[in-house]
Amino acid sequence: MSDESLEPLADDLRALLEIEKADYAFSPAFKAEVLGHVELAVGLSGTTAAAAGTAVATVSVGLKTAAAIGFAGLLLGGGIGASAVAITTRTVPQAVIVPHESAAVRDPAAVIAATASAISAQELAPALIPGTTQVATTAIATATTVATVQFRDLSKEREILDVARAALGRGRPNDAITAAQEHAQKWPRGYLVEEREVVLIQALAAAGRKPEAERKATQFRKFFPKSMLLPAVSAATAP
Amino acid sequence: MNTSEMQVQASSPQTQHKSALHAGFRPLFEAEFDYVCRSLRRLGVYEADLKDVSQELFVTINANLSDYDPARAIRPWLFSYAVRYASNYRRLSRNKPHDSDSHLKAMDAAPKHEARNLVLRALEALSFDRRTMIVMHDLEGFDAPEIAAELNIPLNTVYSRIRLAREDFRAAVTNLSADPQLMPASRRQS
Repeated sequence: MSDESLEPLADDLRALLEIEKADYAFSPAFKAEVLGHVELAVGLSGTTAAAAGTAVATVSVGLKTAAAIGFAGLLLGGGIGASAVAITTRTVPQAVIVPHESAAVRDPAAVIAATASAISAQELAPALIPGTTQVATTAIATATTVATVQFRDLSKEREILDVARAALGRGRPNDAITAAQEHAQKWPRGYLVEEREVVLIQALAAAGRKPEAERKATQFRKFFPKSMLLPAVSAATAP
Repeated sequence: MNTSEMQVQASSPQTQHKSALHAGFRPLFEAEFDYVCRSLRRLGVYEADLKDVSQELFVTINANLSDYDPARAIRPWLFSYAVRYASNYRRLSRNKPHDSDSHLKAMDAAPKHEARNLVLRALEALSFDRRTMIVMHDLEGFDAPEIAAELNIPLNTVYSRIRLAREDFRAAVTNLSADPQLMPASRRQS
């Protein structure tokens, strides 16, 4: 494409830009991660979000079997949260799998189980100690068990928050506050803290407890400065 | 019509709930992910924030995919989103350190990587409007009328901005080339 009214670009600049113009690709892992997050955000942002539970799992299996699960909530359009799930070990990761065919996946525990099962001992063994397929298999099995247990808690967390959201949706903010507080008592550092706090802020505001809502909102902004739920918090506490 | 356009057209979803994944989204994502991320980087989104920004952009793309007219080229449509998201991003994140592209496949020879680094840094030195002109016109190959249409600005303004953007880009490259750490090996004097 040319624009005749423009002078041609100088040769040296053209040469420089030609290098940048060449297509270059981003890593498949990065691409898969973004796609997974998009699917999560989309899958859980609608009215049926609470039941969806779509997940992307990044599973890293190491020698030690104590696995920790991180959960990040997302929210779009003032709706309901989305979730990203990551399992990491406390040791250097030995293998990473990023599945993103989430259409057929509705149970996070199943995702982790399936993903962990997909890591063959043979795949892991070279990264561990030659011939220690038994170690790898045990590590996978234990990680899977831990993940499944953790996700049971996650499901319970979600159930209570669903109650809170439903109450809020039906114009019963006090019930929503009760449910959110129950969540806070049971899981003060749960996976859905971010979502819980937003529901609580919304409920407090809806119940006319503006000062408390403002105070919670200030705390939320402090602890989750990059949260995608910030617009919902701002909307709830707007004058 | 490129592959993405055909795939989007072929899927032809009639009614998609905004919270569902559009049937044409995944093929579009597969085909154009690199293009969108590349555009975001060129428009000033730092690598550290590329995941978040591209994710939000693609969520919006998914939500609006039903509005896409398959008769139009897909890339200008995508690019207009990249401009908007990068513009918003630039307004909110200033004075962050520049970083390198570790997400890129490690296939770049060092001189090529250095040249790209120089281009990105030079673009970084430009105002957003002028950077957009260099990216759209001299990198992406949009002609001035297309840019005017996509950005909804007068054609003469586009020409003017392109000229000024090139001057700024030239100055930025000259300044950066004076720094031996940034100058591509291929351009260094021995």
